[in-house]
Amino acid sequence: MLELKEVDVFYGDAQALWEISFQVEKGEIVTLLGSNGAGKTTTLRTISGILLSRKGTIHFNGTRIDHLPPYEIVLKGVAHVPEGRRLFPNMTVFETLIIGAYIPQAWERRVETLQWVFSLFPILEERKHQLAGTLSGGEQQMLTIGRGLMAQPKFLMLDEPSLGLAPIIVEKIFTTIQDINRHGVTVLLIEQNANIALQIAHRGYVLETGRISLTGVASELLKNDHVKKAYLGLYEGVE
Amino acid sequence: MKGIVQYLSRKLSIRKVAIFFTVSLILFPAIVRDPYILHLIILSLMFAVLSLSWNFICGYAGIFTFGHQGFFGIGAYFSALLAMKAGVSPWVGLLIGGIAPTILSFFIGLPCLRLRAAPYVALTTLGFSEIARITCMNLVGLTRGELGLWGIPTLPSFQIGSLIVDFSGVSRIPYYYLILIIFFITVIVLYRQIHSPTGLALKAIRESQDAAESLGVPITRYKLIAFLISSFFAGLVGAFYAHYIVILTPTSIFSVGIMVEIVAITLIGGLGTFTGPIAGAFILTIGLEYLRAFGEYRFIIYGILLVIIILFVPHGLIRKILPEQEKG
Amino acid sequence: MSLKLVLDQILNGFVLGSMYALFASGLTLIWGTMKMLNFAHGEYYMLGGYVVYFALTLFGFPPLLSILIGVAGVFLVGLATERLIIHPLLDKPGWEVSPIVATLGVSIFLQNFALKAWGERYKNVPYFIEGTLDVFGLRIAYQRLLVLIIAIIVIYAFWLFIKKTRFGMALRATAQDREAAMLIGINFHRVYMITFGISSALAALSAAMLAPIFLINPWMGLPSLLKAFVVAVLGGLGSVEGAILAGIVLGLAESFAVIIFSSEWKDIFSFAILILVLTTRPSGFFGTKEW
Repeated sequence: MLELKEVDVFYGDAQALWEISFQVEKGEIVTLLGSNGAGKTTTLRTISGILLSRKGTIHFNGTRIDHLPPYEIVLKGVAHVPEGRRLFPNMTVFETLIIGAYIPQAWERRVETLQWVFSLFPILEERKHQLAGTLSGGEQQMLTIGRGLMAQPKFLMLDEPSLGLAPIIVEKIFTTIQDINRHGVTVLLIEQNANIALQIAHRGYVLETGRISLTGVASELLKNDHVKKAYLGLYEGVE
Repeated sequence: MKGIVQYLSRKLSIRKVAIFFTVSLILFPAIVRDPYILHLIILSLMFAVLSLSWNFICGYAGIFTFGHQGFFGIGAYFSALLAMKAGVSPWVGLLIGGIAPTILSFFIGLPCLRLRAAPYVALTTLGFSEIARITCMNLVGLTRGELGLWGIPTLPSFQIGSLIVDFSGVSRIPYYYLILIIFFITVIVLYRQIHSPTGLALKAIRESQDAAESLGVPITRYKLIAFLISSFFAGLVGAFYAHYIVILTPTSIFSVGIMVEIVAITLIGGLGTFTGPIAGAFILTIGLEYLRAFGEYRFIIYGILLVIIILFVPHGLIRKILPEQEKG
Repeated sequence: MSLKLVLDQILNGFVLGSMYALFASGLTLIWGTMKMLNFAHGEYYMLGGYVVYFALTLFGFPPLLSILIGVAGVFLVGLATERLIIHPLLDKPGWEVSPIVATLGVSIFLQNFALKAWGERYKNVPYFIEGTLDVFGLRIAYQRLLVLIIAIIVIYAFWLFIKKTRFGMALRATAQDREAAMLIGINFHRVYMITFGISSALAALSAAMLAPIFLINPWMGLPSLLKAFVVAVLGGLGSVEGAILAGIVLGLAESFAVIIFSSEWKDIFSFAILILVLTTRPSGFFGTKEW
């Protein structure tokens, strides 16, 4: 469904990604692992069109999407849930979700989609008239994901949904991600928390200083020594 | 077009240009006697001082004021009134014309210290300038209000050896050299300030006030210094102008149009560069005069040119032509 | 001070203030969304006044149509300005200040264009409705009443537009977090362009309403811009609700100030209020932390 081929991305003169290539098949949950600064967010932002790649191609469902403006990429069915819960501080939960369905095809069905999002995250329905800025961390993360879902994407990209959240909330969110996936949405998941990511993912890639260093089926990666040392050891029993 | 710019950039260096420019300015009246042209250069130098001093507080300290014309006008009125009502020598008046706004700027700067976003400071300083204007207009007993002051005493003549410097005559040359001296003083003082710890502190404040604060930079002190210095030169030029043009009205001297001109000059020259305001002052002042040839269309074309220029050089001319030497 | 005088001034204050509110809303809208100041805002006001004047007197159109033409015409000019002049400067180096020169240039151009094209004589726009209403011995011109009614309708409609419609919400989203807005499919270039158009249209509308009361001349832009500036900052830059409230407050304050002080000092009054408010509450009525 999504295919990156030898993508180079620069911030000014500094290169951030080197010949990144990977695919995500329809229906999968694929995770991109890596520590801080590895380039995970950069990858997502390039896919969603905020950053421009200097070399390489990105294809979505067969069509090229690199160098398209972000709003056109959303129209194709790609939703990017950004890192750090980028919300609209002065909009209520309800307003945030509604505007999430901005694109024309989603706008018509926004009432139904809203019901679905509320069924996934009931707490959002409770707080629907509260300002986004006043929610707790976990609720904000749910809201950000919900907003992304309102666009009715076929492909959902999540940037570190577990960041800064308590384990219980993280579990809840990740279970919901699986629900979403079962609903027919392909998922690309960026995470530092390899443990939980690999538990729900089908396949994974490891990004290290701008390059893909490893790839494999989730169960294999869990057993991989390097992965265990670098990414799993940090998170075992902690949080 | 691009080729010309690149050629110029390679051949020119700030040093060479500065030396050439300085020498030309000093020798200019020996070659050109036409009082009209001398007047143009005098105006250009005045605006250069105004823009350099505004650039100091806006481009270097990052405080976007919009009341610089207020200091200009206050300097002018103080010096003029002291000469007319109290018989104070205009030479002293020049100094007081610089100091009076400086003192006032301290009190104007205080409320501005808490404000961060540009429009708030701009509006506050504009407010003070407008208050000054309306006050001058309404204190008719003192200032004759809208009618203005006429016949302001010119600077008294003096003699050095056998050379008589006469300010009351027809020749503009004495005024030319006076404003040139003021200009050089401004350049030297500001240059040294910028390359001193003050300049560094201001740069830090401009880039990130929070970071500077956490590093222990006394923000208040440096912001006030910026206000004081920039207002001094504006007032000084104002006083000069009063004794040069010998007529003052509140509307003309406190005009927002002057502020607009300063902003256009500085931004087109290059905000935050050192030579930008100088280049802008000459280009815009002389350019505007040239446009007189277009009669009624003069300002229409001026407006269009401003838009076109900024579309081509959004960051200022100097940064485009001399990119290496000019780093803000 | 008689009751009649007080009531008269209150009405005046509301009429004036509601127009200040609309006019300043446009300015604050552009700041909130694009983080820039439109120095030509006053000239759109002036243009609106002239278009309505010519529609009424030259073409003899009925008042409602004339106002519509004025608003629509200036809306288009606003769109064009954004697309041709502001858009190319966006996100390029110097973006914090280059629009200032650009809009200053537009302002100088429009002012002098009006001067050349339409002359320096002040023009008198005829009242839309003649006659006065007699209420409890108080005589209110129908014209002022009309302005007030239209003001209330437009302000309410505008508020609804910003809060409830798809585009209004997209506008707010873009203003609050542009990148996040991009990620839900909002084309912020289009948002910017339409915002500029709406802002100009609001300026034109307030001119259309005020024109019969004041006079039309090429220089009416600058003092109006300053007024709008004061109102927008008082209300908190970026907040439409703030601008609306501040406009009305200032309108009322000015009406009463004229009675207490003389009219020459009236302008100092608004600046003095401004400086006072900014010293004590730098973010204005409803401004956000970033002041």
